Amino acid sequence: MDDLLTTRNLTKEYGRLKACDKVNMHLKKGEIYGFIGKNGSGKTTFMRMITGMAHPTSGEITLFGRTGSALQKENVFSRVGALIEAPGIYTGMTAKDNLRLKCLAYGVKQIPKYCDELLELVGLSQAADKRAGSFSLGMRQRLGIALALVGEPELLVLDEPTNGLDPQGIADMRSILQNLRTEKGMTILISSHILSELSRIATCYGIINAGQLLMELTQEELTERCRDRICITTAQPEAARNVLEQMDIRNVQMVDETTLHVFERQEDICEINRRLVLADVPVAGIQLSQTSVEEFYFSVTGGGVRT
Amino acid sequence: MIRVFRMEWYRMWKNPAVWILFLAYCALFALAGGVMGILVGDSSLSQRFQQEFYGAPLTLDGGVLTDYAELFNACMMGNIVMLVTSVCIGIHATGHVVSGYQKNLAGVAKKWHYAVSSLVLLFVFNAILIVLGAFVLRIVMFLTHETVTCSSFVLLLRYCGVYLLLSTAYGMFGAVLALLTQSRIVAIIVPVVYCTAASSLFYMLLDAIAGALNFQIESARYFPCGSLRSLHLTDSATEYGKAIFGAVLCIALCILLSVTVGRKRDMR
Repeated sequence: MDDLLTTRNLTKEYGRLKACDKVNMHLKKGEIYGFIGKNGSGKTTFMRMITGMAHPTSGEITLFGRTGSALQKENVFSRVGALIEAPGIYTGMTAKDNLRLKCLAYGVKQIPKYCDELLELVGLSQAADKRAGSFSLGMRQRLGIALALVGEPELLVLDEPTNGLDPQGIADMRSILQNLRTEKGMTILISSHILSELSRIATCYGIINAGQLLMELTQEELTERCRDRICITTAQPEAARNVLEQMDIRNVQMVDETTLHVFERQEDICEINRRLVLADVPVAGIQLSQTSVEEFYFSVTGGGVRT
Repeated sequence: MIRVFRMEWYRMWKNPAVWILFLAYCALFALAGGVMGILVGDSSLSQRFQQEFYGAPLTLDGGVLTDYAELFNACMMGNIVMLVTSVCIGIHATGHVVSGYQKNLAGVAKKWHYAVSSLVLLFVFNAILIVLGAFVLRIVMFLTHETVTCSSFVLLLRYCGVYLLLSTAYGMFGAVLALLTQSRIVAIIVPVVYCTAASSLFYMLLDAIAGALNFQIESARYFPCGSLRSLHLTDSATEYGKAIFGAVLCIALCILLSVTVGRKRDMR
């Protein structure tokens, strides 16, 4: 797949604070990119820059093959729909009028029908003619997503879109995003604090901390790093590997000088232990383990649960 | 650019505050016209009213204000149009920023689209104000005088045209102020205070500085706000030229400033 968005050393400074520090991101067409990072890590700043809302201090954005001044000149940002921070809506106007305004700016044809379709898509049909000021947080978020979808953007940028949504709303959102990707081929960049939720829809991930993009990895790579394994601690890992090979266990990874990870036949953990002992391999520890997405995130960012 | 204008027009159309402003404007204009109409025949009272209420002397034909063009001129020389425009700009121009709606339009419109569409919108808005004022005044005159006479229709048209340009320029000043401060309160209060009081002090100061440099100038004539308050139907072409020059310069500077600031500044 081609890169739809790439950034090179993208930096944003607010005085002495580096909100984004030399971020190099690669987003391929058709992907759902999960952007993970704690509050203040630079996710929103990055998203604001790639949607044209903020000017980078330095670095380069390549979007749809255009870069530099061509981004503005060729209206490339108009191909990006975004919901960043709180949705920007006129509280004195109805949901339909809010959509209508953006439709007018985009030159959408058959505006009433188009607005009805969008409102139905995000589950706001019943509230189409209600003032947006009377909306709950979740309803505003839905309206914000509908606004982001006006003009059929090729890239959808969503900053914490599940904020304020109830469980049903979160499930609906997941379904909407997956449909947009499969049916319309939309590329989606989404940030969320709910890592388990993000892991259910994202096809690749970027982990950002203190303004720096620490890692980019695909869903397969993440699954690989988080999947079930038998963790063997021994002073003779080579000998242990030979025993495992005799048992026809080949999906083994040497993690360090004393640790082996076995990614198959987890149900045979007792048998493996017995065979290692019989072969005089000193087993200091053997256990079944699994890394959650959250634990993986903490291991990358150096964070953890505060006690 | 047309799309942005259509969007802005629709937003104004749907904004109840703008309709309330139109109503308030009609009421104020009817009051001003009515009072001046009732004061016919009492030149001293009429002049005192003019000076105290509008801050501008009025040319009276023997103390009797029966001519439609003269009465219209007198009403327009007040601050009503500037006040209404200032409040409308404060409410409308800051709407995108206050609501955050501008985030939805980050990629769709260039900065100069906004500046030019604001100019066109202000032009249309002020044209509506002038036409509405003329209509209200005609009704008032008909009610107070029963007959309506207009001595010079051509002069009236010329005055209305230049007034429209001046009020649009003044509106642009308010719009740029709104863009710079991004504050609804400041965007309303500053133009209102400026047009009602501060501008006179400002022009006096400029005139004094010019006088100290042995240079005579009536600076108010070169500024939209000053011209709006002092331009008269029967002024010479030179005076009208000064007003047009000031308005065009103001509009050009406002567009330049708003485009430059808009390009440099991040959206909130």
